[in-house]
Amino acid sequence: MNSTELRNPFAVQTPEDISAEDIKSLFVDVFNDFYNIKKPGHTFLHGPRGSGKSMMFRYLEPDCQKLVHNAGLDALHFLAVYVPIKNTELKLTELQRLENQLANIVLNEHFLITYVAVRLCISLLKARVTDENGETAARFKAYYDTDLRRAFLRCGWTDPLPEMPPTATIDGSFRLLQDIFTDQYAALLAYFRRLAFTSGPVTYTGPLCGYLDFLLPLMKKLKEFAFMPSGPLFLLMDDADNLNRVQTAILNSWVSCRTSADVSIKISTQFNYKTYLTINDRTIDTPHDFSEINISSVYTSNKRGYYDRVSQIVHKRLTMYGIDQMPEQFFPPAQEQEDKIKAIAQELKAKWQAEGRGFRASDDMVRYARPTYIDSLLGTSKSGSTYKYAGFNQLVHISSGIVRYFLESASLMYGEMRSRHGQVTEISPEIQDQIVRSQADQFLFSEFDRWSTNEADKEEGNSAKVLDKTRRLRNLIQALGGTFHQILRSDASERRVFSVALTDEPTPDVLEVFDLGVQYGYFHQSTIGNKEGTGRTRLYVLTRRLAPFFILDPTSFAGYKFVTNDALREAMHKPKTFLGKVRRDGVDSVLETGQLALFEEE
Amino acid sequence: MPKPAKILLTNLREQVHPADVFVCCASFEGRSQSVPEQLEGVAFTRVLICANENFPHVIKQGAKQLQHRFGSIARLVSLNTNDPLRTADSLQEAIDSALSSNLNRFLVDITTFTHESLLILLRIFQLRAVNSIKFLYTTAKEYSVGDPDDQKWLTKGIGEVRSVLGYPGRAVPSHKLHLIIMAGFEADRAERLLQEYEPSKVSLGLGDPDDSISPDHYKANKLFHQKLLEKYANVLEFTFSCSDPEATRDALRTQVLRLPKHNVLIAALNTKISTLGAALLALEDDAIQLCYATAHQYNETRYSTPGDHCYYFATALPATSPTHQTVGP
Amino acid sequence: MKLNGKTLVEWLAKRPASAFPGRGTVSYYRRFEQIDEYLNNNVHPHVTVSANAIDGGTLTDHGPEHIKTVIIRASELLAAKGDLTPYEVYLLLVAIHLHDVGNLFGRDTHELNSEEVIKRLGLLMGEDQVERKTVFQIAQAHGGSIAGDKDKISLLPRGEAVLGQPVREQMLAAILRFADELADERSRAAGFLLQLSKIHPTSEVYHKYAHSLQSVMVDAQGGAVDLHFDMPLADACKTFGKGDQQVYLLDEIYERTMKAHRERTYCMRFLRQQISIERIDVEIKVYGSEYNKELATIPYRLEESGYPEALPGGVHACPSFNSLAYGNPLTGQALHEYFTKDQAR
Repeated sequence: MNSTELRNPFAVQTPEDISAEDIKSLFVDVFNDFYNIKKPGHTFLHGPRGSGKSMMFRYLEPDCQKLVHNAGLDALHFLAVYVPIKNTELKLTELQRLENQLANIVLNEHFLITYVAVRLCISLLKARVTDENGETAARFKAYYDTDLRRAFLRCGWTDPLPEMPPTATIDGSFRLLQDIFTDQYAALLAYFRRLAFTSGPVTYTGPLCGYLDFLLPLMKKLKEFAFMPSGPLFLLMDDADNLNRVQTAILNSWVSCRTSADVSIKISTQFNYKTYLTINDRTIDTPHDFSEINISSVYTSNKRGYYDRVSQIVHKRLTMYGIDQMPEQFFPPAQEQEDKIKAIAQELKAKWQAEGRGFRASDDMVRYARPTYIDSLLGTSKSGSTYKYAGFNQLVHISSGIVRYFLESASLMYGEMRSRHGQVTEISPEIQDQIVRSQADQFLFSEFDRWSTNEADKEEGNSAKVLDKTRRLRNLIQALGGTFHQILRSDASERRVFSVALTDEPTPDVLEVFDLGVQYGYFHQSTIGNKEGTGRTRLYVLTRRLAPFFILDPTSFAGYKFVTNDALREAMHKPKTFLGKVRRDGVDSVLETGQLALFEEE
Repeated sequence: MPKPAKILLTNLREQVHPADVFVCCASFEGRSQSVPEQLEGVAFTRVLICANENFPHVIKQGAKQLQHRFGSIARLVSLNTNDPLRTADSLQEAIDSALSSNLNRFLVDITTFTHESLLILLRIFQLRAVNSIKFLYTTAKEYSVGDPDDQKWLTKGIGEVRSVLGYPGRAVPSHKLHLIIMAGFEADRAERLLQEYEPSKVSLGLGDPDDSISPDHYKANKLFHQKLLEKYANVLEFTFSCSDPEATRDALRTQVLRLPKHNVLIAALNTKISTLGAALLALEDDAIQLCYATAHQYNETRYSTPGDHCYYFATALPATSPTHQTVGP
Repeated sequence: MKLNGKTLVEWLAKRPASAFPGRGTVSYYRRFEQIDEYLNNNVHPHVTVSANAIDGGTLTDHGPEHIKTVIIRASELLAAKGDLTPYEVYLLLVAIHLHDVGNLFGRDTHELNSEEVIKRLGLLMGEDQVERKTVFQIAQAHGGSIAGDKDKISLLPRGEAVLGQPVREQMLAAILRFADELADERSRAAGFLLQLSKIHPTSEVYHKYAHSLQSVMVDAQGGAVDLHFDMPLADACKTFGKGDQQVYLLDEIYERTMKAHRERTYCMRFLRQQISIERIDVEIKVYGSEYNKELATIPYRLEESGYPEALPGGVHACPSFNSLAYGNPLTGQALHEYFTKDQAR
């Protein structure tokens, strides 16, 4: 990233477009938390959009790794091939014509392989293989002229393959190979185009490559060259949710082959991976076929780690932009508000001896000062809008473990600040608060229609109406958010609640709504010991991005409530009635009784 | 071709040229009846009433009403917003059947087709080399009727995002992605697409202010665009016409040429006339992919109120390009 | 399938063209006849000779007769309850024809080299690559390994539509593979060369084995295969060349019938719905110099029976057992020590 090109230090840029030099200075090494990614072995990496998966993958590419380790390609531990799976390249609607008609598996596999092969060539070119005396090029030509040519012919290549000139450099050789696959990819697209408006099968006359009979041997052979790293090739399949179903099954079949020593497949998803079945309907699972990492879980159990990571990222970006400020200075809190909260904390400390609840005075200070302050504001002003969601710490909490959320808000704050003040050396608490609130609002209402009281009454009055999944999710969020707000304002021993744990097995209709919520990023799913202490149960954490919308304290999500499946179902169908009951009868009688602390206080 | 003429709906009947087949699409929008109401009794040989079978109440009400209007010459064509293949097959069958009966002159009310089914229909017309097509488009008086400006909406959420059948493009795997968004009424939808595709470069198109429903609305959209410029690096801006397909096509072409060596993906989110413009470009250049995003929810009850005018125009579709005729790899 | 004692080829001849892809415009039976004729005249007769020339040794017959035998065995296997579609039968028959032609280029990876021959067949095979690839895949799964794994049939798609018709690739590949396994018989041995002792010393026992195999009877209804071996006393009392070793014919019969048993077990995984062969009955008779004088009869039955044995080596033998970071071998004692040390640290 050339800083002069960017108007805004926090603007989102696809990692693909960031140079190796910039990656080196921008990337915050997180592989202590995600060590499996750099190890041989197939790995799934799950995380919401914007949680840094692509950035991790970009960092593993050979141009970045060479720079980071200041070493040649052969000294690296792996060669990573970045394979972005975008909606545009592989998941074409035309391919649906193949289903039950023509070689759905074989043609999709060939399509996938052609694409991966182009990306493989791109990685080899990015690796900038040194070959001063041309020996490597000569050896590669010998391979091309014999084994590789034969492999092409075996796959049914009928077009004459281009000759590799004896003078070709090693990069020239890789480019020639890339051209062959690019042409093949184009030819396939032309074939798929013909399928669009035909009903019967269309004769296919091109070659067909398989993973085991073509791509794997090709990659194994490449590994034998002296310029290659000693370890395996990594195929970094980024955003594999974008594969269609059969392509996903094909990829799973590749994973089911125990080839990790030669080729390890690293697959990133956004929790919407279509299937774990192979083309033969066998499941692949962890730990037998692959290891698995969930970024959100890592950062839920290691909150400090996330704070530090965001802090480093922000600091690096500010530095690159010539702003010499620590993140905490750049995003200052609303000082007056913080002073008042401190004063409340002191009062709590004084009272602790006589009427304190926590083990230590500091427990009470952390737990109750901010909620008490928010409640006091609400007592005087109905909207509660005078509470300021500002300060680096609060902003990090609100971003809920997803770096992109922090950066997006920060970019808008920066833009707003610049338009008001020209030069930007810090972001005023007012602007922080304003942007974070509007972002929460947008996050909710880009997905759901606004609920007006009239419509809610009408909907809840019509018991016959079957609500679709989206509406039930909307209702659930509304009901839980409202309930959590009630808890914040209560005198409960833990007032900062963002989660519910199920006391009984959820029914499919409840589960599908939560699944959708997780997919959209409204909830994070985890597990927790059940009430009886006999096993584990599901825990759903509402994203703290919505804290400003429901007026909640985002600085902790330690508390959780047990809830029955029936209560959740009511929340999904009659949120207004549900919230009315919560206000009237108290939270516990509606959800269930009992509450525990989820985490140790910081 | 001259710019599309904007005419009063009530004058349509006397201005419309003879056609063999009238094609329209039933919808929950009142606008789907505006043109058909005016053309009731016109001497068509056949009327194709398209209707999305996955919206059963639309079939029950809108399509029934249209069938009633046109009587025995009406034929129902079942489309499905979840199944583009079904849509393509039904449209193909209907068009082929008309052509085989020597019915070659088409008049299409594009107002309430989904963007996707309209694009599919246009590709079929091109493949069948239909060269006498006239188009009609009814304006809207208001969208998201009765909602305050900052809370207006037509759809919520993005479901499946897919390439439009017949417009797969010709991506080069080593090239980066240039996403051209023809943003429309709901600017946030543009952002969702941007997140969905994570392109290297984005061209964010704003409908021509002259075509905008209201100056306030234009201002709101412009503001949203400013926000996107802050959030994302590499966003280019351009404007396009919402009422003249050939001008739209030219604006898009200029935008495509600004970034050579990119895979081009166009998302048409504005008026159906501008979608027609996107089709004109993609029909002449097979390298361009068009995409479509399904919505989770439609503002069915308050989507729009019909305006008093409609656009009436002819546009020649480009002949199939040589790449399209390539036989196999 | 209602074969009425006929072979799959004869059955195929009676199917209407409309039962195949192409909506009746393509005669798949004629296509098969042309392939059959071409390969029988131009390829099969040369396979054995060519392999011998490249690898040395004397390969048992891989000519047209062997193909016929495989077809007969496949027909016998399917006679009881198989329900292949006409198009699947066509693909199976062509695959049978092609499964061994790769030997033209030597025995090593011969199962893969049929691709070269398929290419040369050109339009005789039709122009659709998917169909050609399907035939190749079914044929190549009869032997060899991929990435060190011999379980090649599992790697094929279970089912896949080809030219609009469903094709069960795994099943077809398993039929071919098992039929091929059962296609050894007396005629495969180079009898004349045997008499003259002109078999290459490294291949001697293979020919002796084939020569001694008197009959192979498939009883698909009863779920059994009977193998009958006749062994002259003289052959029982001497050893024969096998590579650089000398082995007894009886030991070779044991080894080969055990392989047949493994192949049966393996192939049945993919065939249960269609074919159920549950045992192989073997009978070996040793004759004196006068042919009708039986000196010994050795019968045995190869089948899965009784309670299954534990894996030799226990869980440590599982290929996926890979938790050695805590101890190697990871026993209860080793794990205990690991944690004790860990605590001490």
